[in-house]
Amino acid sequence: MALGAQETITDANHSLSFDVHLQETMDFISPRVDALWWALDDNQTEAEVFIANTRATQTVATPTFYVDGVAYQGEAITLNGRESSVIDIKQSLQRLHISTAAVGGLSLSYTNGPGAVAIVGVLKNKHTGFSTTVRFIDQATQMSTHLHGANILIGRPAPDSGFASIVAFTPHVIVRNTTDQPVQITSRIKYTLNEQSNNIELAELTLTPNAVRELDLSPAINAIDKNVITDSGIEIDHNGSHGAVMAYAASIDRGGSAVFDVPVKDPTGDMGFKGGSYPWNIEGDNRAVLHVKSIDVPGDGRKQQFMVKLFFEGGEYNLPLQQVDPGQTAVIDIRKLRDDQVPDGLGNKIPLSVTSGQLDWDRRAKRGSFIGRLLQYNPVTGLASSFSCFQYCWCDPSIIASWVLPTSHDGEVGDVYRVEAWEEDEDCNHVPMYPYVVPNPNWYTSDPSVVDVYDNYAYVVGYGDAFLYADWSAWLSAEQPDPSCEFEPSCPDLCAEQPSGGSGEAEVKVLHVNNVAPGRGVRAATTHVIITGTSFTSGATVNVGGDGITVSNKTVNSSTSINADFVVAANAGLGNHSVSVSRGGKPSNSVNFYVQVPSKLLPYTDSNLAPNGIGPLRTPVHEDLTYLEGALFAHDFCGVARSYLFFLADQDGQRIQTAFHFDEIFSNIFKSAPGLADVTYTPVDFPANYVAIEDLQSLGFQGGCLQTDEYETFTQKFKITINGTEFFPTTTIDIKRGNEGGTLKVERTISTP
Amino acid sequence: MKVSKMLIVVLCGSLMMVTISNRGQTENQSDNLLNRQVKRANLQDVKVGQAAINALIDAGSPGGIATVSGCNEDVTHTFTPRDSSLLGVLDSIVSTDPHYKWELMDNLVNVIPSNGLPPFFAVRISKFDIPGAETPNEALFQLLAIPELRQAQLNLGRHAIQGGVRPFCPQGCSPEKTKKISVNLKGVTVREALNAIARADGSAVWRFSQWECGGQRTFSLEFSK
Repeated sequence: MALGAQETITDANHSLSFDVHLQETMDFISPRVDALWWALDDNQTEAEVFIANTRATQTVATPTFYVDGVAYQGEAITLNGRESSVIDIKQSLQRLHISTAAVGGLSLSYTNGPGAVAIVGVLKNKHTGFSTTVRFIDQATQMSTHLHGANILIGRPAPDSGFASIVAFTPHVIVRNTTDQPVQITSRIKYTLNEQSNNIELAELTLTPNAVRELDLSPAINAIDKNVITDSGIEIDHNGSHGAVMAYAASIDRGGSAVFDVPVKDPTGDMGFKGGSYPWNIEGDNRAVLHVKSIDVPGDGRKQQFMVKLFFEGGEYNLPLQQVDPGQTAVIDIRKLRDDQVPDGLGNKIPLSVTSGQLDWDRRAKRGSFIGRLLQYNPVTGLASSFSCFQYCWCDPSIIASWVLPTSHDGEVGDVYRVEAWEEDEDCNHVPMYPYVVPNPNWYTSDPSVVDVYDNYAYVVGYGDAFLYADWSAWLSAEQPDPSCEFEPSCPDLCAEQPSGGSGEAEVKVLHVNNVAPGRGVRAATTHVIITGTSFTSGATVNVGGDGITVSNKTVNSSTSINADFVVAANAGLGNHSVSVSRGGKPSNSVNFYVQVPSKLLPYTDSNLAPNGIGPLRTPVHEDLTYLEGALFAHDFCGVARSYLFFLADQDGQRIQTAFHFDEIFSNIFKSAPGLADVTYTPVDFPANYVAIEDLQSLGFQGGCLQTDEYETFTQKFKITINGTEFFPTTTIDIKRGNEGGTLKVERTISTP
Repeated sequence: MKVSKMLIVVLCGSLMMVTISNRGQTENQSDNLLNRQVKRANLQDVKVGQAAINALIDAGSPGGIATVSGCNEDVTHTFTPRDSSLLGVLDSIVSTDPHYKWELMDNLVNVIPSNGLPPFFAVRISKFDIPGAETPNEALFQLLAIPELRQAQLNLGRHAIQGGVRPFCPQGCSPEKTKKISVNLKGVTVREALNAIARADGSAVWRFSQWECGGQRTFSLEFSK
């Protein structure tokens, strides 16, 4: 089966419209069809049944009329090959001497095998514009004891339906027992009011054999009163055999001209109603509204899901995955989608110039059973048609692709953004049909310290790179011939289904600089730094704010480490400079790099050798004199000595860790005795990894000793040279060393403005 | 100061085991030495001896400096060399204070009093063999312990020892220099021996200072680098 068709016959002058669903031979499995009529309670309404012989050979059809539960067999009708005939119900009843009944049943038995006749009936009132279609159904095809009808209009239509505000609809539901056994009928009206689901149980009804009755809908009509409802539907259950009951429903406006047929069907028949494919037209005042009703009973609380796609010249429109509660009806107004320019799941819109097209819908595999129809109507003329052609596929759509959007997120801590798991399904012909967002996939994160995910939202909580993963259940299905008859032309297809899954991943990158080390560098020097952070890439750039710092020799070691040289000019701005890393033009946060200037010498404490930076006073007598670490300074020394430890500090009192050239500047030199040596020094180059400056202050002799009152005092200042740039720390130290009054001493006074 | 003149002094003054280069090579080496750059040396408000040692150390040039002072404190100067070469700095020093001159002796710069070195420097040593001293000052200590120099030192007065500055690095700042100083000298003067030690080290500068005031003499002699 690859084609569904429906013929709509319209008499615009009398506001009449009839839907004729073209059927195939396979729609029939018995030589009998059944129907019911209603609304024959006045002299103006006509009821006609049209019969055509689909065979080339003669077919004999015999009608049986059921009035008040009594069967009246009519005259047999002999139809030659391809011949057609008409049955006027009123006239037929008169010939049988039966008073015309408002409601009744009609069965037609025929020869020449199932499907030998095509048959449809109409009810019409040219004076009021009332018209509706009498559908004949092979009840033997019914697979259950349930009947469902979607969108039965009750009371006032929705304001945006196009009808005048004074319009109100009265629903009618007629049921027929097609058997010789009584059946019990339970039924209910479901609808949504103010977004709340409502269920009105109708009075239980016993249908005597072959009886036709109209259900009493007054409980629902009264409950709804003047409210505007949506998602209305009718459900009928009976205790008879499969196909024991048939039903028809329609809603009529007060004037009687606008009749909205509601096909009431066995939801498990017609290939299980796995979807539909309908034409639509919204030209002029026309409206096209899709009604899809879930036929499942509430159970596990899961939403029932189906997909809808519109085709039109020049484009297509993919509605988001539709979800309804079990038993509820979804309504999709195509004209409203176009006029409001509602974007679909992919952001596409229906161009305002579009007036017609095709609609396909399918249930999502294993996510519910539905019946659906497209209601095509014109609220001005009162013409209405109902399309309920089913999909031509035996199988539910099958997954062919899945992914997660956005595929990557380059963000910051605190970002909250929506993530979507997408699935695309193909139809039985392997045509990609339905891309949609999967409502509730399972979400995972590779690193919850970077990004968490909950209810389709990602929450960036930390720095680094991470992945979001989603998976969900899906189905693979493929049509294949029934192996028991695959070489026969009429052999039906079977659907081979197997569980599958959808999945996708998305990357999350949070560019961040944690630290730059060292965080300080001195003027006129190049500081090799290591920048640590997250989400660094090979193309990342390092940016330093302020004046006087250029970046060279940048190497991205990894996603968390960058090496670079900060070349700090001799006149670079002092203090903090912002350091950030950019990727693709987007900068990270920034951390500070502090530009130092040699400003002072501060005591360096070695708790063992020089607490508070002051070494012990030593008074060797013809002994070796050593530095604090034990390195030999002089043999055979006799005098006094003490070491002081310093470190070079910046304007903030923080250590300067760079190579420098060290000079001393002496002033205020006083020698207590003429035989004392001059105060001299040797310039020293300090390596970048120096720990402290050891200044060994001593006064003494080799081969002799310091005499009483041989001492000297002087003032010590310093000059620091870094790459040719001179700096003069403000620290001043007054030294006294030698023998003063018989006391050996080395003393100092430090002054740092 | 002409280089060729200094070369004559070197060639005539020693019988060292150290190889003496031929003239052409010596000129090139001297040029290279004197063209070394002096960029960090403190030349402001310093005495001649301090300026000279600052320059030689900054240039990485081995050599020697000798100063002699009286009761008055030596004056300080700010030297303004014509360029940053070692030659420029040396010329600036001796032109600023004519009491001193610089000489190139066997490719080592010596800054010495214009009126000559103390006699101690002319004392000849019959033999001096150091197989492997750890530091120049260790070699100097052994040199001064030679009996021939003990008496000569007495004439210089008391041997003053001052402190110094160095990096404090309990864990080691940089790879320790493992080069040992070895010299084997015969029939050389003290000056030649000091220069030999400086050359053997590669960058050490001997520094001799003598003060004489009120009949008291004091001297210091040490290597800096």
